[in-house]
Amino acid sequence: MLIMKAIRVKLWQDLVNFKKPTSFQLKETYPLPPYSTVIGMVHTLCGFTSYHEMKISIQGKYFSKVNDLATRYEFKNGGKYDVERHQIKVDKYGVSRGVSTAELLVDLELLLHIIPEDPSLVPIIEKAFREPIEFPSLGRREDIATIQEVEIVDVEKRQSKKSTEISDGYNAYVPISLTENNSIHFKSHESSVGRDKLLGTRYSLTEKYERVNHGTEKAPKFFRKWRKKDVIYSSRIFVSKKDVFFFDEDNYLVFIEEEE
Amino acid sequence: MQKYLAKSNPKETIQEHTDNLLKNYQRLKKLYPAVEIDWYLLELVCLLHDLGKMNLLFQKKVGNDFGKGKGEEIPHGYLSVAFVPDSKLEEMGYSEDEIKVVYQAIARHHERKYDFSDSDWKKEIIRLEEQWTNFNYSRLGENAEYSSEVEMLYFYPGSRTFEGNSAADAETFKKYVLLKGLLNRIDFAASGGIDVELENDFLMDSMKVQLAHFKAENPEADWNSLQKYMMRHQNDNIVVIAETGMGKTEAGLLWLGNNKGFFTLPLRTAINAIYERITKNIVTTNQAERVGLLHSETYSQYLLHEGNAEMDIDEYYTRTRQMSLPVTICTLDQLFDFVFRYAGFEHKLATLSYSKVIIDEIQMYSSDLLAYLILGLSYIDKFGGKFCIMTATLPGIVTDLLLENGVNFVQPKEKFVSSRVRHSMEMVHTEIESEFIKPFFNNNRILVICNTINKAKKIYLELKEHFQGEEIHLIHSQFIKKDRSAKEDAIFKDGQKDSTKKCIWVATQVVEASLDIDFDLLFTELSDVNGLFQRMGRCYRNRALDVDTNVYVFDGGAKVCSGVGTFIDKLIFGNSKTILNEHAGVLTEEKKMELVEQVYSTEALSGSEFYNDLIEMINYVKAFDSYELDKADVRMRFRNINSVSVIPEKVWQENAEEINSCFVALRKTSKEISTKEKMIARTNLAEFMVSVPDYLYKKGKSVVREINRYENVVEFKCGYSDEIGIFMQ
Repeated sequence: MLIMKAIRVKLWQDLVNFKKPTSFQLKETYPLPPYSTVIGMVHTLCGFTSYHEMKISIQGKYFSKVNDLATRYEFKNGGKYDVERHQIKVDKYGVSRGVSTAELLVDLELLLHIIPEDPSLVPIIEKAFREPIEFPSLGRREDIATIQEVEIVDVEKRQSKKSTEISDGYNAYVPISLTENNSIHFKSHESSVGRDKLLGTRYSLTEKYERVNHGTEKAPKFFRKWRKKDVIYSSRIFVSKKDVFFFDEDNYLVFIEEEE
Repeated sequence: MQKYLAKSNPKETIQEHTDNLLKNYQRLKKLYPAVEIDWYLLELVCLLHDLGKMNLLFQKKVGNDFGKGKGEEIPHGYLSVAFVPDSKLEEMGYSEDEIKVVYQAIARHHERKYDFSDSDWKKEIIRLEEQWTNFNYSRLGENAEYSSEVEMLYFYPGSRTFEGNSAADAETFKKYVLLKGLLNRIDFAASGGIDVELENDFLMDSMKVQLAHFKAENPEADWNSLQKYMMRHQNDNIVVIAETGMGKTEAGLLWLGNNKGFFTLPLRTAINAIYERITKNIVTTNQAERVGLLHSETYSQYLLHEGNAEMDIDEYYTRTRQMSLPVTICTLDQLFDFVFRYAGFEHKLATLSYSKVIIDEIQMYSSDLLAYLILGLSYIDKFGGKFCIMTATLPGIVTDLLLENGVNFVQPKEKFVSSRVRHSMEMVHTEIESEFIKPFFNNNRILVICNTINKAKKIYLELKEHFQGEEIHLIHSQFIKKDRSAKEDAIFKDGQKDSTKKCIWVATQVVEASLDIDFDLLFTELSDVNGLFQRMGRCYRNRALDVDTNVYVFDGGAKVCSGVGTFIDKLIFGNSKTILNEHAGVLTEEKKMELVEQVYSTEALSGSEFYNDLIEMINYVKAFDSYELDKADVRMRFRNINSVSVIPEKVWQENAEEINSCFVALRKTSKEISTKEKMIARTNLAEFMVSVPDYLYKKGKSVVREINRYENVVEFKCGYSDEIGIFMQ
């Protein structure tokens, strides 16, 4: 079995919002950053200007959630500045400023495995996390991420001597394909009556987009067409001793999909 | 070597207790080798189930000197799983699911809520190692194994075997239910000091003796066609329709043969009567090891029979409660509450998996009980048990629903019905009136049946007023138990067909079933065809028609009869009324069955409240997941009881002394007084009680009188007389 090199990063964030695209009045947050957010951070830190395919495993935990006020800037396409209104003047355009509420995760700890398709990128990504060119953020621009550990680790698919539970208190995004052959087990709870399968919250998370032109060549209209990943968000997971699964060299579970 | 205790009073070591289980295990295996269980695994769980008790906190609790520690104890079942030899089971070729089932059966042999943290549990398992080195039990043999860490694949606190959606899941669920259920049975028996099962090696012989008795009286006597049919189909699920008086009890027993069986009936009085008949006439020796009676008043019934046979009543009672007897006559709710699959239901279904169940008088059940019955039978069928439904009248909807729920059965083509004619009916198109009845009171014994108590009271008072000094009586459900029994005795005497005493009994449907009475004339309100034919059974019960008309049915005329729309289904009432008016006059038994079939067929019922309730209840019960409810919850839901047992104020005043002496007895501790004496006090107290429906209870005032911490009695402010029962002032 192929051994893959991964950059394992442990991050800590104080108060953070990973906005669910469908929430407006209250900006709800995902419990962990979606794939696209992490991929975006890696690209920014590395200064990549084109897309590099990579696999990401996301797990972590947070202490609690709070709702806090946040400033909201509203842009209207081509909206002119109006002195009469509470607006900020940007050249001749006006930007409205108001308040909104954001849901924030408190004390978030993240464990990310980043596996670039091109192994030669591994040292570049490692360096980007060891010596960041600017302050790293994950989520909103102000959601600063403190990098606690960076490690290059081997990831391979193997059997473990005994069943392995996800690390203490961590939750993970488990790609749905991993649950289909029963290689991931869910621990039912006294109150989870009647089921012991797929115990968790199902999300459809953004991963990567392509710009698709819906207009004409002369008057282009670009939309982002997203590749999405179906996952189960759960903490009650373990991999049994009979299953082959991705582990890193320190026996952390790595939640990535295999190539089709 | 340290002695690890399993029980404190009397002191018993884990090894001794386990030995007792193994004895019962052997017994069960010998008597019922065909049970679909892996006997090796059952023996294994018996061996291991209590090993977790060697933890020091438990040892401290049962009073062992070396026991120590403080804090919350982890329930011992969850600790015993540390001793499952999982690698050995793997080597033996047991599947993952089978090994899981072993762990869970052990962990959950007591249904304790999992209210401790996983880390505390893990720590406690590690602590067991020290005790394990001091522990010795030769019978563990090659299964002696301890692991300080439990393999998560097989078990973690909170793991469960659910019914699931696939055939494979259903198979695993069945394995779990049988393994855990039988472990429970064996464990209960070992703790109770009784045998887990007693052999049925007598019933066919008893039946032969019974037949010999018949033959002694009449050399031509033989089992009738019904009884022969049942004997031929001992190994089938069957549904038979047979007229009352065709010897259904014997037929049921002949179907049962030398097997373990449960005989269910809807009413306690009917159960008592059949129990008495069987123990007096059929199973005449060793009854306390052969036949039991199981309903909410088992103990007081046993007290009544104590003098007749030699028995240790407490032991007999334990045997009955634990379902160890070969033949048990019981109410539906004693068995079929398992359909809710509450936490701890397994032993009932496991027992039924090797039993045969006889369901008698199915027409008496309300829609909710019918729903439980249909679901229960489908489970019993799936688990390997057998059933037989015997009934005088069969609502077609029952067989349709059984088939729909995947239950197969055989149904004889013939109906077991006699050609004799007993009843000729006249329809009266008015509400029930005493004026109509009065002229018939010549030398007749008359039975009047009303749908509601209020109506019965009214008719009674009018007749009483008119025929002063004559034998006019009233019976309904709102008499205290003592008076009700006296009235039942009296109506039984007056209801003998050779009795010549002219009298009128006004009653409600309390006389519909199980009272063996035979009056000359019946006047009744219409409820529905089924109820009507039951009521007809109380008139010319065992004789041929020799008058022009012996049954008068008041159909309410333009109005409806009392109780219709409240507890009698409107549509069924309407259909019954139409069909009966078409068939007034002489009614053969066969005709009666036909009429019931027409009114209660699935097509005729669809749209009725009865039908909707039935379907809704089936879906309601199915909607619960296994283990979702606990037992107490299910007790509440199952019988949908909306009445309260009370002692009327006046009764209390008149019997203050006796009631108080019961209170005194019930307040004593278990050291001062035996269980039996307490049971006697409770039985005596019940003599003064009557159950009143909720709506009535809410109208009156009541005082709750506490007996002790767990029991109380309600005193109800209402009028009462032994003549008319409860009345509100």
